[in-house]
Order: sequence, then structure tokens, then C-alpha cells
Amino acid sequence: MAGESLTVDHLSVVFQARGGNHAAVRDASFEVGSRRMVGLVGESGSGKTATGLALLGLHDPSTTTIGGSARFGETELLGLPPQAANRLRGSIVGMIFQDPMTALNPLLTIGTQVSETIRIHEGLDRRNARERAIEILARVGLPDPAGRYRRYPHELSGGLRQRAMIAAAIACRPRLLVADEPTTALDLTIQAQILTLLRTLCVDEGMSVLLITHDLGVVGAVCDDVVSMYAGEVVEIGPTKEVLDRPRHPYTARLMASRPRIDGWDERLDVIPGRVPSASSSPTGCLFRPRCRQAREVCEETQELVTLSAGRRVRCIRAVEPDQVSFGAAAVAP
Amino acid sequence: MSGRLLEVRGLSVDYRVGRGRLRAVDEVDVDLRRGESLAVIGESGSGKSTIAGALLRLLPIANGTMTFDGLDWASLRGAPLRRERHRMQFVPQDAGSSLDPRWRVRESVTEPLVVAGTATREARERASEMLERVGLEPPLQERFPHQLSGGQRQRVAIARALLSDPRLVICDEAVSALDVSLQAEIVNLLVELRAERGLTYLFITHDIALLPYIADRVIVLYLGRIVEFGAVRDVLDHPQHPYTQGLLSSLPDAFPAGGVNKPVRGEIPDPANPPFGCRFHPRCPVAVDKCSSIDPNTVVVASDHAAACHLVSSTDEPTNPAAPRTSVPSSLLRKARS
Repeated sequence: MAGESLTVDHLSVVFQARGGNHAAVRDASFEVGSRRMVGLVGESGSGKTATGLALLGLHDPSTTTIGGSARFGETELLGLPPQAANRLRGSIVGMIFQDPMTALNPLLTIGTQVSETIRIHEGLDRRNARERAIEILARVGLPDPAGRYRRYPHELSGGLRQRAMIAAAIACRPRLLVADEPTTALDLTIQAQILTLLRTLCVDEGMSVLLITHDLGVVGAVCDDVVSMYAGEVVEIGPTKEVLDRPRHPYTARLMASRPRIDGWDERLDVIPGRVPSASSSPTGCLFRPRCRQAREVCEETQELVTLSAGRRVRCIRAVEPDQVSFGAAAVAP
Repeated sequence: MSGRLLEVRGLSVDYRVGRGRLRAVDEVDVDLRRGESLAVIGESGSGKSTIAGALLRLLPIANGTMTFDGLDWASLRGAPLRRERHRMQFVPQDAGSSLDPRWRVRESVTEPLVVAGTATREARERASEMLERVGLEPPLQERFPHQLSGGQRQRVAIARALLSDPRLVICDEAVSALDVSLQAEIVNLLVELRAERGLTYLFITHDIALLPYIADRVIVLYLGRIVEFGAVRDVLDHPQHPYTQGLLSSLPDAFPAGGVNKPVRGEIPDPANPPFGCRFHPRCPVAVDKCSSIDPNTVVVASDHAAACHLVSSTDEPTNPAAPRTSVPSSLLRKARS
């Protein structure tokens, strides 16, 4: 069991629409090591959620073409027939979403939704499944789990609903948990509690976690590694501390600099001019080039994701030049 | 004319729930000087938006007085209220749902001016100028709300709020739904507009990290009561109330590397049954016996910095709570910090 990791290899997700093809994810490769928590960051439209949904086989095959592979241990997660994908979801891979109000069924009690997974995957009868479900509700920090078992989603606060959704996702002890912006809609205090819970699950239960977020602060708080995505491409990968202290891709650096900081004073926030290119366009060269202050002629050529050291990869020409400059604080100061 | 733009004393707001009443805002004092920016922070359920609703005269108030721009604001009714409403404007969290989906955004921005009696042609021109000022080029002004991005819709809401030359702009979580980079753009825009037009803001947010950028002073609200207030830098650097301290340690930046920190435990209680004594005591890590029985007084700890906590010791005689500070030049403060 131990030692399994997720390896995503040349993943592409293309939506077919009337207007043509929209590439949401372009040739993305990264790993989520065993028992590690990895943050997948980027702005809206960077392909984060499309990546997460692909791992769970949740894209509609009639409108989406998925390429590449994603293996968890020995198990291939992509391109499975529906029944096989159903077996994996919940038992090997679990997912939680930003808005538990829409992800949970409003007509079923919390208990039904948590025990359902257990009954389906582990074949337990109603009573045993109920016991297990209550245990799990307690495990995710839901006060009065036996009472809350009988409650409907609308009877819980946002934070407690999020805990209930985590309970449903981990009920069958999946080894990989994909969490898509699980704290974005929550108060800071509740966000801190949920992040702490996810970190505890990762450490204590040996679960690998892919945490999708637009907030690098959240990544810095709980993740071991970072994968930074821009316009469907992976642009930077590395251990959290290294990447946040010394981002080597200008996009990651600018994303860092645009965060408000509590020790900031009266200064303007750094803004990344322009927008993520539309998924329907097929730009060439470095995709970040139109918004990059350091862009040069050479950036019009296609940039590869280059390995700088073990676990540290960057898709930027400047990162591999001998006299490269760090894109840390100095480069982003006005 | 004095520098005081808004003076609220003992504001209470009730909601009817079933047969009973729920006090969402309890005896709150707010002072705002012209040109100042005041932030109100707290979790969902703390009463932040209820204060906004009461100030905007959208919610009936149970108690208290409001003096705004020289008017007895709380007792204005009917036609006089409608005539004066333009003095206070509102920027909501989700501009998408506050714009008519069937109207082009320029029409939505023009309408309030026309209603107020401006000639249609002039109103259109001014709306167009204002939209351009907030960063919406003419072709975008002819679009419908659903054809704009979240950031662009937020710009429309700002333009509409500013068009009537308001004395006070209330921003209720105006940047909370945006991505970090977009959030930065809108925050910068609000800061620029304030400097350019001498605007006064009441900025409601749950994101404490925004405070240094958008506010001079801050009120920390918990279950309808003010638990701490002061100059932003004082409150952030020397938080007095355990709740403020908890909010600060809930920031992702405050997490120890790769580890687990001690966030505020539990959740905000049901305002229909607020805890006895200090309302924060069930979640407070340092609560003592009297916290569950006696309401704490507001203790002044420095000039214009006070907290309502039994464990905070006074350095000064209590003065008028929430009184505006005498402003200290930011250069001095910056020096003091480094």
C-alpha cells in the first residue's frame, strides 16, 4: 500500500465546442508523491479544475478528449470504462469541491451520503455502514456526529458541510484525495480548520492530497510541493519552500506578489496585466510572454519544462541561462 | 463643517425569526471622518452586512441614532430619504446579480442619474466617462452583464456607485469573490479612486490581509458586537482581543512551515442564542471564570485603540469609543516598524 504515488504524464484535456476545440490542459506532467500534499495553483482558466476532474474520470467523454496518462501506483486512472471508473472513485481516488451545497444531494441526509459510499464499495450492511459513517464524521471533526448523521445539508453551516463532504470523500479510505478549492468560500477561521484537517489526514492516514487553489498562501501553509499552471501548461514545479522563497518562473513570482500581505503598508498590490489566453486560441512560444515583463525575442520559441534539480522544473528560458536572475522580490518591485 | 461624516451611536438591528427576535447587531458605535476608510471585519454571522444594510436604510433599525452628512439619517423617511439616498452608495460582492441581465451595462449605470433628474444625453455621457475611468472601454460598455468577466462586472458596480458623487461608499466583500490577481486590480482601483476623489469608504471584508491596503481604521465584529477597534497598523501589530489574535493566526501566512497551527476552534454560535457574558468565551483559548458570566467593558489600550476583553488591561481612562484617531503620518509608522 505504502509508496504509491500519482504520476501524471503528458495529460491533455480538450473540450469540443461549436466554435472549435478548447485546450484546457496542454501536455501537463507532474507527480504527487506518496503521503505528500501537493498544491496545484493558477488563476481561473489555468486548467487546474480540468486536471482534477480528469483524474476522477468526471469529464463527459462525448465532448471531451483526454490524452496522456495518470497512474496511481500501478493503476491507470484515465480512459477507463464507466464501471471501472466507478470502482476507483471513492476507493482509490476521492474528490471534494469548493461548494458542498451543490456537491451534496440536498434531499439526502449527511449520513445517507457518507454511508452510501461505504455500502457500495465495501458491501457493508446498513447498520455497520452507519457505525463506520459516524466514526468518520467524528474523524473529520463534526461535533455530535450521531446527531448530525440525520441532518440534511442545508441544516449545517458552510464549514460543517465542508467537513461532511470530506467525510463522504474519505469514507472508503481513498489513497489519493483531490481537493478543488475546498476553502475558497469559507471564513478564514474555518479555512484554517479545514486546511489543518486535510494536513492531518495526509500525515496520519497516509493519504496523498492534490490541493487545487488560486491562493499561494494556502499552498505555503500546508503543501509539501507546488505545481504552478498557466493557460493549461505546467510552468513550474518544486518543493513549496523553494518555489515560494525563490520562484523561477515569472508567472509564479507575479502570482506571489499580487497577494495582499498583513505586513504590507499602503503600497499598491502588484497586478499581472492582461488575461489568461483563451483556451480556443493556439498561441505559440511561451504562453505567458504577452504578460511577462522579462519577455524577449527568444520567448517566441516553444519553451520546454526543464529540470533544474531533483523535483525542480521550470518552463522559462531565463531559468536555464547561466547568468539567470531570480524572479524574487527584486524583480517584481515596481 | 466638521470632519465628521458619519456618527452612529448604539445601533441595534433585529431580525424576526419565527415568533422571536434575533439581535444581529447590538449597540454598535461607528465614527467616520471625511476621506477616511474604515474596515469592518469578522466572520459570517458577525453582523457586518447587517450594519451595511442599516446604514443604507435598507433594514429597519431597532435602536440607535445615525447622523450622516449633517442629516438625522435614521429618521429620514419617504420622499426626503429618496432624495438624499444618493449620498451613500453601495458596491456589492457579486455585481453580476445586482445588474439587470437584460440591460447593457452602460444603461444600468445611466439609469440612476436619469431617475435623479439628469437629462438622458448628459447622463449617458457621464456614465460612459465613469465606466472608462474604472477601466471599461466603450465597446465593453455595450455588453450585457453575462458577457463580462467577474472583474469587469465589479468595475461596473464601482462606476455606478461613484456616479452620483456619494459622500460615503460602502463596499461589502467587494473583492472577495475574485482571483488574487484580479482582486489586486480592483483593490488598487478603489485606492486610486479614493485618493483622486477624496472618497470615504466603509469596507466590509472577512479577509484581514486586505486591511493594510484599503483601510485606515478597523472595527472587529463578533456576534453583533464590537470586540476591538483601532488604527489598522495598531490592531494588526498589537491585537488585544483573543478573537482578533485568532483571526490573525488563521491567516495561511501564519501557519508554521508544513505544520498544523492552532486556529480559532469551533464556529460562530447561533446569534439567536448568544453565549452569556463575553460572547466569544466558548471559543476563547484564554477564557477565565468571569468571562462566562460578566460582559466585558471596552478597555482603551492606546489612543484610539480599544478592546472588549476582561484580560486586557487599561493604560488610559476609557474615552469615547470608536472616536477617529488623529492620523499619524505613514512615514513615521513605517519607520517605527523597521
